[in-house]
Amino acid sequence: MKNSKPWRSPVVLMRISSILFFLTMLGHAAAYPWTSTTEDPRETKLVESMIDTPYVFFSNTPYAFFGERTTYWSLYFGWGLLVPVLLLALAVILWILSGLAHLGPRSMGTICAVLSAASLVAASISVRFFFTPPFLTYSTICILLMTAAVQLLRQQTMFADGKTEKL
Amino acid sequence: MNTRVLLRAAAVATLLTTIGHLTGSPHLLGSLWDPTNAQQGSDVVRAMQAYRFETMGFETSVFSFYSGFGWQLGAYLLGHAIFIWLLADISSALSAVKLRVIIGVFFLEFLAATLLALLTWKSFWIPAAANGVAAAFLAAAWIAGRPHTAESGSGLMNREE
Repeated sequence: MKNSKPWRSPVVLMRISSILFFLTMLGHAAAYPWTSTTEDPRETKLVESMIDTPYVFFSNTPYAFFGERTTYWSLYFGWGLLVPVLLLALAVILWILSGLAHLGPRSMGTICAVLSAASLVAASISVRFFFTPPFLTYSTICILLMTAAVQLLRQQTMFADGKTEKL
Repeated sequence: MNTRVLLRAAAVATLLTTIGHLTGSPHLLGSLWDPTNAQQGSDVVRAMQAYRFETMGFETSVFSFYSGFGWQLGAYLLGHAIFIWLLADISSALSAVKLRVIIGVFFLEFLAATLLALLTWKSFWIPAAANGVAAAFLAAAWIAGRPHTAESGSGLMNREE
């Protein structure tokens, strides 16, 4: 099935989404270590208290592992580091899969729909907990991937004659 | 064990990681993100909520970032679990080289998550173990997907019709 508007093809939409995931990852990483840039003594005190306060799980006693304890700061900081890892992996995998989109429309359409739904959740989280820029990027990704998913799920597979060529 | 089964195992491990992560959410079951059972923890959570600052023209708090990161990770972990499950579905239709590239990226991601969890969360070892299990299944799937052992796929067409 040939697309009359190539810029609207699922491959292009998936690649734009991949680039947006990558840009979101860069934006998130640029905010390292995810505190304000002001030299506010109240914030310094807050960060110190997060560093000093052990994180307690499953019991009232902080658990030590090789003499180390998890703190609120390490949890917060670790999550901050983990988010760009997930975003980078999604960007790379989406880019790779975009090249296979036209060969397995139904499967790729389902994957696009799942990622679109995850981006919708991320957009709503951005409104509730963060600010506008991530909301805009996640919303755009959501729309692009949903459009790609609809297009892919409507398409018939290329190998309608039953060829068994590998993707 | 074939690639498909190993990918499904990785997907299940990721789903269990997601459930474990979200179980700690203050808005769902629990108290792990916001332990009201520990006085010192409650104090720091209140301080995180109380201190507000402006960033990119919006007022926010450290606790908003903290909760937002937690929810965001939950959403993407769940997305990953479904994504890997779907990848298992189409694994026999993909060429061994392309499949191994995709599994390799997922493996590196979970390996990085395991190392980050170990290095930053230290005594809180459960996320490192959970991510490590998923990484191990992905590594096994990568090995099982070597060209000479790859399943002979029947193509997506047969599966999708």
